[in-house]
Amino acid sequence: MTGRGGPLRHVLLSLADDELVLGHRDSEWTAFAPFIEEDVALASIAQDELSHAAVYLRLLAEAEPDAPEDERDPDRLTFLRGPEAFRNARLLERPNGDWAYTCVRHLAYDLFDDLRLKALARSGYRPLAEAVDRLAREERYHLVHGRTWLARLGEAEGEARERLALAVGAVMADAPGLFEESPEDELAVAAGIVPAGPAALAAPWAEAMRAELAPIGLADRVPPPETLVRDARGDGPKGPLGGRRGRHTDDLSALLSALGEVYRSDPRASW
Amino acid sequence: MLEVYEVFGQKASGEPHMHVGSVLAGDRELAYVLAKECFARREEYVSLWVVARRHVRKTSPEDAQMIPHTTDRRYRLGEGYRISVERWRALQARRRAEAAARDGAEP
Amino acid sequence: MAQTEVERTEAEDPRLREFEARIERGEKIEADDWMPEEYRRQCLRLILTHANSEIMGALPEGEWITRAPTLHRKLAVLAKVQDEIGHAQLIYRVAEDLAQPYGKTREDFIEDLVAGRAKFHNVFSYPAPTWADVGVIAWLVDGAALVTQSSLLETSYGPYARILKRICAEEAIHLKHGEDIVLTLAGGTEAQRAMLQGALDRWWRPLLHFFGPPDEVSPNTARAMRWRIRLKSNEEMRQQFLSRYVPKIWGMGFTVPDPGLRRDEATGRWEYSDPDWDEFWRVVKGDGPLTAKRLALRRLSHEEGRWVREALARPKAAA
Repeated sequence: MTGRGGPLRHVLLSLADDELVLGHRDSEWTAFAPFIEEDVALASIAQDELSHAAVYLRLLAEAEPDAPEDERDPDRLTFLRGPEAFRNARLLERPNGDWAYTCVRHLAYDLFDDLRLKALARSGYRPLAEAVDRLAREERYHLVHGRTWLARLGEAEGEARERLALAVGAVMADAPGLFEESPEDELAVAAGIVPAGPAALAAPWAEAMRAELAPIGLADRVPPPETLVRDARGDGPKGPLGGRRGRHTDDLSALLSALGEVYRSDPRASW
Repeated sequence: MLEVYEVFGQKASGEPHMHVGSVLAGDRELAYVLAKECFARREEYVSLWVVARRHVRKTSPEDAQMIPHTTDRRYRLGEGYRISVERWRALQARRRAEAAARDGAEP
Repeated sequence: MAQTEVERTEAEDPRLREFEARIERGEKIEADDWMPEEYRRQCLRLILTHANSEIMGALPEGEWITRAPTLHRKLAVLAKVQDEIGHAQLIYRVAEDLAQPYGKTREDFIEDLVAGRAKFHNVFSYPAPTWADVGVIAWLVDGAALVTQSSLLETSYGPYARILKRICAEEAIHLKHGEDIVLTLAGGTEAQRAMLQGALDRWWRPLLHFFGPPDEVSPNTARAMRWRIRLKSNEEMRQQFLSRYVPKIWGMGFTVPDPGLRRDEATGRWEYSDPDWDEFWRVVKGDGPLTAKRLALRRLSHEEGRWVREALARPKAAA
């Protein structure tokens, strides 16, 4: 895979880190969800996301068999990398906030991931194309789950409705980060790893998101695709962009220091 | 108007109620009365439940795709822990080696 | 407990004789069946203590989901805590059906719990300060719970007996997960081994307490046994636990902090030093090292989720 490592690595790490960081956030709800049945459901979604991250990281290990252990072993990649080496969108590293934010962020991400996986089914890198078919089946539950929650919260009035509207606003402000392009994307397209860069997903995503929000009267909160791909606020410390290029917020640093706390106490030990 | 009622039967005290079939009836009471002879005339049941099919949310072929987990779930299953046997053996070997080293070091 | 008017009347009730005959025949009692008030009360107390313990039991390990040291461990701890919550789901549903004549719902049970009015197992009031505690909890606390829960598989209350089959099967997996963490640390570095010994030392006394003090033969206990609500005494279960786990701990080259612990070869019984039952009573009455802190955490999440539960319970306003 020499020569292909750069863009392939970028694509796989973007996928893995999105799932890893969101799965970690989901797992923070375990034992604290609004009620017991939902606690169980979200804990499964967290496991799906973390398992998917592991699948992508193993693909990376297989693609780069000669890379040093720290750059290919899934556990070492998970627990030892610093924030600058993470490629997730900033949207996913934000703290969980309330239940409305958790639901809206998840649905926004799941709609994006659905489009991304459909595109990756046509990847010229066969192991990736084969893996996404399996992952898409589990992701489907996330979509159904998120959709059902959005509808229920949207139908309610009073506090639920107010929280939902605030959550939609906050998630839309960070949405451009999902479609952020980096120099590797062009190479990935040229190498046939992805049919198109992430920016190409902005228009279909905005349409899908509007369709979800229309029945509850919040479709107008979705930014137009041209704003999604050319956000003026850029990658300042608070803005939505930078994640795909390793520029993250302090929220990710805090997340990673918890994640690696035990492993880093002795990275040579068996745990 | 007749409608479909799903029938659940319990085969013995303490067992769960299992789905056994369905009947057509005009209301829940009649469904129950008819279900008794449709299902319990030969098979032995100790309890029957009926519920209108329209109250059942069924799995569509599309939903069916999302029900089984498709990624590795061995951490949930016994087979994810077969390695414990090797860990135990390795630990015993290490203890024996440490004991031998201690004995050897003694005058 | 003083006999109530209802119980005196029940004693002469022909239904009581039929009820006891059913239990004698090994039949299971179902939620809608007639049952003596005292049977309902005792079952409910046992079942609610179990449900509360599952949900409180999620907390000490839950703190380690974000910090578990490999992807496999992270998934396994997450799945285990999820199972505990799933057990609480099964058990609260059984409790709710049983408490129907009292008009009590799950919301009431949780309110009781977070207000400190309900009981849960002593072990969930103790801190889990290291990764080794996660292994020891999953291996030995779940091992102790499995001893208790398996003893209840033949309980006379049908709905509880049915869900216990699944709960025990899942606990058996948790135990393997815990044992694997423990064996990894036992075979690891000196720091890892010291961490494991520290966790064993910390958990030993709460584990001995877990089964409760040796039973006095109270009328309540006698009745619970006769009605097959419970089937084994506290001491029987503690002995079973000691027989199963002490040889394994010793075989791994580790110790438990009780110099008086030994097995009497003649009787096969374990002798252990007095584990300070006052501490046990303080903890189950709500004064454990972390009882208040963990209840406050539960209360906070219960309050923060209230608007969600209300939004779901309220039907959509007519469009």
